[in-house]
Amino acid sequence: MDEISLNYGGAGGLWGSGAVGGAIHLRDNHQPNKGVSVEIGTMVGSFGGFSAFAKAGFSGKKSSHKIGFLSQSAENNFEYFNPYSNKNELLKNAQLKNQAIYSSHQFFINSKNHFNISAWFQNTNREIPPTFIEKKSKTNQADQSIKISSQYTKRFNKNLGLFVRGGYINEYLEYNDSIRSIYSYNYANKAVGEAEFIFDKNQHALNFGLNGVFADALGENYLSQGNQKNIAAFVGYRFISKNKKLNLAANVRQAQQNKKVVPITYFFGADYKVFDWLKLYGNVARVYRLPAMNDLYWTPGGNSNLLAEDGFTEEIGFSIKLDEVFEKFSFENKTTIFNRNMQNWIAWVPNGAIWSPQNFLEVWSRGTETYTSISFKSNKLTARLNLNTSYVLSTNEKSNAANDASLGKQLIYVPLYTGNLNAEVGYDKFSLIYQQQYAGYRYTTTDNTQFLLPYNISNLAFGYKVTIKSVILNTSFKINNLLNTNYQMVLNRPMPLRNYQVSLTIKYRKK
Amino acid sequence: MKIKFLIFVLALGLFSACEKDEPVYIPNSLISELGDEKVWVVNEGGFQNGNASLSIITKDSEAIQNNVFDQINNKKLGDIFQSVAFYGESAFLVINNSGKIEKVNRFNLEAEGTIEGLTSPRYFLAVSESKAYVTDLFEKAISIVNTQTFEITGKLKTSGWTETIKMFQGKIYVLNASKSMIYTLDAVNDVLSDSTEIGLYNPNSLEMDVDGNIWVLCGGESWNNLNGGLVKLDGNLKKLATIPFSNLSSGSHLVKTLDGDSLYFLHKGLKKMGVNQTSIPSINYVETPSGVNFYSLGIQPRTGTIFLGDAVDFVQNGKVYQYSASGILKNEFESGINPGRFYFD
Repeated sequence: MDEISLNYGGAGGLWGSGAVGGAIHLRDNHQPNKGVSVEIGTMVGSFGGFSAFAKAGFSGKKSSHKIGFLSQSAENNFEYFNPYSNKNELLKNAQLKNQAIYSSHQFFINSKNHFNISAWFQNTNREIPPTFIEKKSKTNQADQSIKISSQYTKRFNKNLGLFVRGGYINEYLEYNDSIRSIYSYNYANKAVGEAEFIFDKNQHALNFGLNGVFADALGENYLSQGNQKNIAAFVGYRFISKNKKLNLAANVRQAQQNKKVVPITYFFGADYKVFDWLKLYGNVARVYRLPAMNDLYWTPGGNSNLLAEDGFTEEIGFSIKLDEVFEKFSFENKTTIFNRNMQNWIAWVPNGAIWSPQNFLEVWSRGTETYTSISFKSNKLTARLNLNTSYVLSTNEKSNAANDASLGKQLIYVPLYTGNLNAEVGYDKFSLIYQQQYAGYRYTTTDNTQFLLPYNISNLAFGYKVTIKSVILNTSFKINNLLNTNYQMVLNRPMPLRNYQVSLTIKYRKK
Repeated sequence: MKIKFLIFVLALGLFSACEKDEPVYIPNSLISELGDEKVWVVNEGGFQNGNASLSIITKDSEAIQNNVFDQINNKKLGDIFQSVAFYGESAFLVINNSGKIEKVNRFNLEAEGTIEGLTSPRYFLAVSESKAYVTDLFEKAISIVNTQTFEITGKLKTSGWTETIKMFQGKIYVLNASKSMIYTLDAVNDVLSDSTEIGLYNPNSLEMDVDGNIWVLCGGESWNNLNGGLVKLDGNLKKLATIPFSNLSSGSHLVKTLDGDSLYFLHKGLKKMGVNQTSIPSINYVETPSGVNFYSLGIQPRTGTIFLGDAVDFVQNGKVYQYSASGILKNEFESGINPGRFYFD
C-alpha cells in the first residue's frame, strides 16, 4: 500500500456510512515510466518478533504493476507484573502469525482512459493471551480476507470525467476457546459499486453519482436474514475564488438501507487564506452511522429494528505556516476546535437473559486538536519536532435508567488528553528518532469511579543509510518502551516492557 | 518578522496550557464493625474487569460497606463474583471467571485459603467440614473439593453447564442449565442419580416449599424460541405442574417466603406467588421504580425483608433497594458493580 489517506470529520460522509470519525481510503499510487524497483527487508525483534517482506514494481508507458509479500510472526512471550497475583509472570498463548500478498495493476489505455485493479489477501492466526485475572487461555482466532478493488477512469473532455468503481470483500473469521467450549465462525461478503461524474470548469467543480453496497453474512452467530442492501445518491460542489484565497465545498448524500430511507447527510466547508501564512477554516456536517451487521443480526441479541446513529458535527480552526522564521527554521501549527452531537448511539444492554443493542445514548463530544511542527534544515543537518495534542470531552447526555450515574460523565476508554511527540535529527547518513506517546486517565466504568492510569511511553530509533549507485541500504535499531514503563491500554491486558528491534531493507531502483 | 515571532510564541503557549485531569477519587474505608446478622451483597463486577466486590449491609441496615474483602484481606477478590455458601463458621466466595473459591471467616471475613484451578465455578455446597461440591459453567463436571486442604479431589462428569446446587431435607438437587435437567446427587457414593427433564428451558434457581415440593425457575431462551417459567416437582422429581412465562419472557432469583407457602421471583418486576397458584401473578408485589430494572432479589430469612438490586447499565456501581416484608420501601444503598445476589447470616 503506497498511500493511506484520511478524510477527517463530516467530509468522510461522502463515502458512505460508518464514516462519522472520518473514512480511510486505501490506494496504490501508480505512475507511468518509473522503471523497475525491487525492495526486500527483514526485522528481528524481542519476544520472537520476526518479519520479512519483498515487493517489486514495474512501470512502463502503457501499464504499471506492483506485487508484494509480507510475513510476520511473534511469540509475544514477555514478562509482566500481575497486580492480582503480585508476581512477575510470563505471557503465554500470545503467538501471532500473519501473511499478506498484494497485487496491484494500472493500465494507461490512453491519455484519457485509465483502468486499475488491485487485490489483497491476508491470513492471520492469533492466540489470545490470558488477562491478569485468568490463569491460562486456550483461545485463538483465525481470520482471512480477500479484497479486490478496481476503478475505471474516463476523461470525456477537458471538463468532464467519469469514474466507475467496483470492489469486493470476502472475510472469514473463526474463534475457538477450548476452555469455555466456544467455537464460532462466520463469513461475510460485501460488494460495492459506484459511478461518479466530475465536471469542472474554471473555479467550479461538480460531482455526482450513485453508490450501491450489498453485504451478507453467514455463520452460526447470524440469523438467516443477515444481509444488507444500501443504495445512495450523492452530489458535491466546489468553488475556488479567483485569487485562490477562498475555498468552498458542499455535498449532499441520500441513502436507502434495505428499502428504508435514512436521513439526508450533508457537508458544508469553507476555508479562507487571510495572509500567506494564515488560513481559517470551518465546516458543518450531518452524519450518520448505520448499525453494523453484528448489531443487527448477531444471535443471540441482534436487533434488526435498530436505527442509524445520527447527528451533527461542527469544526473551526486555523493553520499557520511560517517558512524560514529564522533563516533555517520553519514552523507549522494547525488548531481545530470541534463539536459533535450524536443521537441513537448504539449500546449493548441486557434484555431479559441476554444482551441486545439499543439506540440508547446521546453522546456529546467536543474538544481541540493541535498539530505543531518545528523544523530546521542546513547543509547536512536536519531536525524536526512534531507534536500532536488532543483534548476530547465526550459525555453521555441521556439515560433511561433512574440510577444512572453516567449522565454527563466521560465515555469509557476515551482519554481526556492525548499527545504524541516525534523528534528527529538527521546528519548525513545517520538519523535519530525519539517518539513519545501520552494518554491520560481512561475510565473503565461509566460512572467514572474506576479508571486506568495515564501512560507516557517513549521509543528511540537509530538509523543508518547507505547509497551505492541504484541500491539504497537502510538499517535501523529501535528501542521500544525506553523507560520500561508498566502500563495498560486495555484493562487487565499486559503490555511489554522495554524491547528491541533490528531491521534491514534493501531497495533497488532503475528507470 | 516581529509579529510572526509573537504568533509563534502564542501558538506554543496554546498547547502547553493543559489543565490537570486527575479524577476525583475517594477510596472507601471501613467505617464500622461488620458484626453478625449481615446482608452479603455479591457484586459480580464486569467480565474481564477484575472488579468483583463484596458489600456488607450491617445489622438492621445501619450502613453499607463496599469493597469489604479487598480491604480486610488487602488483595483483589477477582473477576465475576458468582455466589456465596456458608458452612459452620466459614463462608465460601465463588469467583467465576477467576476459577477460584475464597474461604473466609464468616464473622470477620478474613481469608482462610483459596481453592484454585476450577474452570468456571458457579455454585458451592459443603456437605461436611472438609467436603464440598462446585458446579461449573464450562467444565462438564461437578468438582469435589476439600475445604481443609484446598484441593480438588475429584470430578463428577455431567453433560454441560451445571447451575444451582442445594440441599433440602438431606437430599442434594442440582440443575443442569444447558440440558434443562434436574438431578439428585448421592454424597455418599459421589454419583448423580435420578434425573428429570424439566420441560422448560434454562433453569436458574431452585427452592423447596412448605409441602416438600421442588420448584425450578427457568429463564427461557428467547433467542431459540424456548420458553421459561416455573416447574413444580415432588421430592422424587416427579413433575406436578408447569407454569410457563408468556411471550418468551424471562425470570430469575426464585426465593421462598419464611413459612414456605409462597414464592418470590423476578419476572418483569418482583412477583409473589402462592404455592397452590396455577398462573403467574399479573401484578408486581412492589412497584418497580420508574427507570429501574431489578437484576437481583434476596429475602432475609430472619425478618422477611426484601432486597432488590439494580445494575443500571452494568458498567457502573449498582443500587440496592430494601423493602419491608409487607412491601414498603425502607432504604436505598449504593453497592459495587452488578449486585447479583444476596446472602444472609
